[in-house]
Amino acid sequence: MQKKTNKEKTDVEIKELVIERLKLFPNDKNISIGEDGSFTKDEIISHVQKDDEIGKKMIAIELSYLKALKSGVLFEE
Amino acid sequence: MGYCLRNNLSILVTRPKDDLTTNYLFYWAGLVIREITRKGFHFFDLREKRANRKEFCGIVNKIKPELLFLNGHGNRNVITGHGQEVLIQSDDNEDITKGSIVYALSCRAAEILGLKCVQKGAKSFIGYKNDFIFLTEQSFITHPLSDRTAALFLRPSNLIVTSLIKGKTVIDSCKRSQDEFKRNIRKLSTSESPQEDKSSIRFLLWDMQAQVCLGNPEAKI
Repeated sequence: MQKKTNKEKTDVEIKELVIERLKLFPNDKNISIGEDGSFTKDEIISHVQKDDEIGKKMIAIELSYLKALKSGVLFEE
Repeated sequence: MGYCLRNNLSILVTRPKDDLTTNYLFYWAGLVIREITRKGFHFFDLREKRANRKEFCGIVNKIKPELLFLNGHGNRNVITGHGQEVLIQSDDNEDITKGSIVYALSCRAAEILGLKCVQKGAKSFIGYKNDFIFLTEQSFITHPLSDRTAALFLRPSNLIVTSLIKGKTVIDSCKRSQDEFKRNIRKLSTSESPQEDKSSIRFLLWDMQAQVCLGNPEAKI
């Protein structure tokens, strides 16, 4: 039970982290996500806040990027 | 001599244009078509409403093109054309790709459909096992080819087909595309690159990692 609570806490923290990072996203660019459509920064942040499918995709993308930064894969020759 | 032989090879391109995403893919695929024309290939351009199932299946069944370059929406089981009409679907007509190399610029199609195409005889299937995501600049929505941000994503994608038509193998073509993604990531990672451009990096990495090459890696057209 305690473990689940910790996971929920971590999920909330991750979501907050992703939202803070998305706030740095430029206002004049859109994100095109296939048939889901094209989204502005504010729309994407709203999806992350709602924790819907698009929001979950954004979280997955951000985590994948942060893991790549940590592993150094981005700068491998 | 090689040039003459290539004239006998055929390429089919589907490029619907009915929303912002497909509008970008439409124009960027146009650059590839220019190269295909320059090389003298026999090609079929199923653009806009012509990207429908009837025309697609009719031409593919009759001509059996060496390369299918499919632009459009999709999911793990389908690739669609104009108005999201299904062109190829798992457990339905994936055998239509038999003998061809397929490049699907379409979300997730490599996850299941790509595997099934290869099982049913496609030489190779290059595609994305996850969503293909790209950024656009709002001021260039009506001029997709002038959009430098979209170019970061669509140039590496176009390299797949422009490499194949130069006679490169599937695996070499994928490598060239991957290298271009990496070059763009590195370029944006430098301190000289503006902060607003760095927002593209996470999506470039995502697309690069989602791109897969299934089937025979040594296949070529």
